[in-house]
Amino acid sequence: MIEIQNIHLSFNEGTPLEVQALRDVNIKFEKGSFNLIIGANGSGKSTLLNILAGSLFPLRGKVLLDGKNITKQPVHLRSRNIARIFQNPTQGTAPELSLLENFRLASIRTRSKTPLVGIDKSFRKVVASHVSILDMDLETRLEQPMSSFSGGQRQALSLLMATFDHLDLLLLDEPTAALDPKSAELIMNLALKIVREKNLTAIMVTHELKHCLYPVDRILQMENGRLRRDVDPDEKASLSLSDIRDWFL
Amino acid sequence: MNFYLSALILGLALGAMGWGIYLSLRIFNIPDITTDGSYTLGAAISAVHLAGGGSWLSASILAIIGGALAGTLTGLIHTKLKVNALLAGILIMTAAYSVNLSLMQRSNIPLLQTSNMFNSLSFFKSPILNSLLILIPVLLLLGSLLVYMLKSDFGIAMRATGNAPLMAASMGIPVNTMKIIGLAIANGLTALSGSWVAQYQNFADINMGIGIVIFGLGAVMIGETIMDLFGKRGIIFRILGVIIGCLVFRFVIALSLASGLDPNWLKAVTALLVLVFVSIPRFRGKTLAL
Repeated sequence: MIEIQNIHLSFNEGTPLEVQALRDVNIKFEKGSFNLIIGANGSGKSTLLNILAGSLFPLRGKVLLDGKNITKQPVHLRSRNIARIFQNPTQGTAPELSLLENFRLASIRTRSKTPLVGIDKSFRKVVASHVSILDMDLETRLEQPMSSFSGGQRQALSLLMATFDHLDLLLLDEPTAALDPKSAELIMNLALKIVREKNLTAIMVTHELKHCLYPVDRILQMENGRLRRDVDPDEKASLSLSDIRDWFL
Repeated sequence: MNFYLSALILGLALGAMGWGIYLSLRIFNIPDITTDGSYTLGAAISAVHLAGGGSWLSASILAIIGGALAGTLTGLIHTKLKVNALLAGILIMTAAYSVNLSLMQRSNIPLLQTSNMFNSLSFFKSPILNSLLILIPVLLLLGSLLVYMLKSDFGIAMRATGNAPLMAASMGIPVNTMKIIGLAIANGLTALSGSWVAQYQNFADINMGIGIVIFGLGAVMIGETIMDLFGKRGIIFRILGVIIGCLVFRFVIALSLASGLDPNWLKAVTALLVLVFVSIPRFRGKTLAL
């Protein structure tokens, strides 16, 4: 379970340019739940995700992972429990490294990077069978650099990479924003499938209202740095897209 | 003939520095100016050590340590104080000048009477062949180590750090530490070249490093351009390409001098040659970021 307590963050504090990005936000995310955070630009949803990922530290408040305080833990240490899918598919994978090398890194995300060669025949086989579930004919292109794949393919690969090593929490930062509608749907379904199969906790930030119609567990709406709405599964079942649109009026 | 054989040895001896530049420039995306300072540092440390009766092996090792320290400092300034990498390198390069001068106590140390790596073997009659006999195996060993390192898990993490820093951090890689280690290795290699060249030329000079970074950048790019022409992009070919780049560059310089070029214009010719190789990919419709 991941929990944020009284999180407060403002940029340029104490100057006329001060922006209060998050104001005393409290949320508990249950283990094995798929959470959707929606909000307009500037609502604080991305800041919240960055605080969970460790790329921003809050001015006040705590981040607890299974009761352990990880508020000031840097990204590379937090990565032992947390994986992140970036909005821009080019950020989540290393473009000049081959597909195989990207997966090698993903497979040792929680371990030390030793000066020994870890890519061998058996590893190659594991990756090939892993990427074959995408049905994108990638298993024959393991040696190609990541930059030779499309945005949709790279985003799908980053999802697989995220779950290639131990994982408690999956953070999805508008993962479909840079994709065409067909790839976006594929990524959403793949994310749901992976999270359910591995019983992961997932937190996804989006401004696409139609994502609320996917079978997610909980919808949270952010507004002006505060948690505006918190919709549980029962309540969510009776919501229509136009109801959700009305939240933003 | 000896003139060109000598260019061959110098080109090979500069190969270690070329690899250093390859690491900092291509793996970490940092054009590392520390090179000018750490190259002379390697020469200065070795000269003082050899003049004091030390062996060439310990001189080489001490040079690597000195260069690695300089690289570590540049890395620390860049990552901890958030100073632009180019400026951090210039700072250490400038400071290294004083360090080198105080190490050497004068601007030039002659090494005519000392034993060194290049006169350590007497297998052939020709001293140049003996020099090659030791230099080539040492380079092969060093190059193989580099290829292995870059293909290892640690090396993949290094390459990801320069290529996609956000992704690298989210894969559990401490990117700042990785950059510091990378710059330490790069400058260790550069200092090794400085040590070798001082041993080969039988002197260390306080000004021998001026503009050497340009030679390294040029060699890396010449090597890449040549390997690209043959469609060879693997790490082995990159590492090999750097050596070829160093040799081509050194031979062009030797030819220019042999054809009667005023030595005062040597640095200008060097810069021009690098400019030509930087612009080749543009003319071929490709972009290559420096």
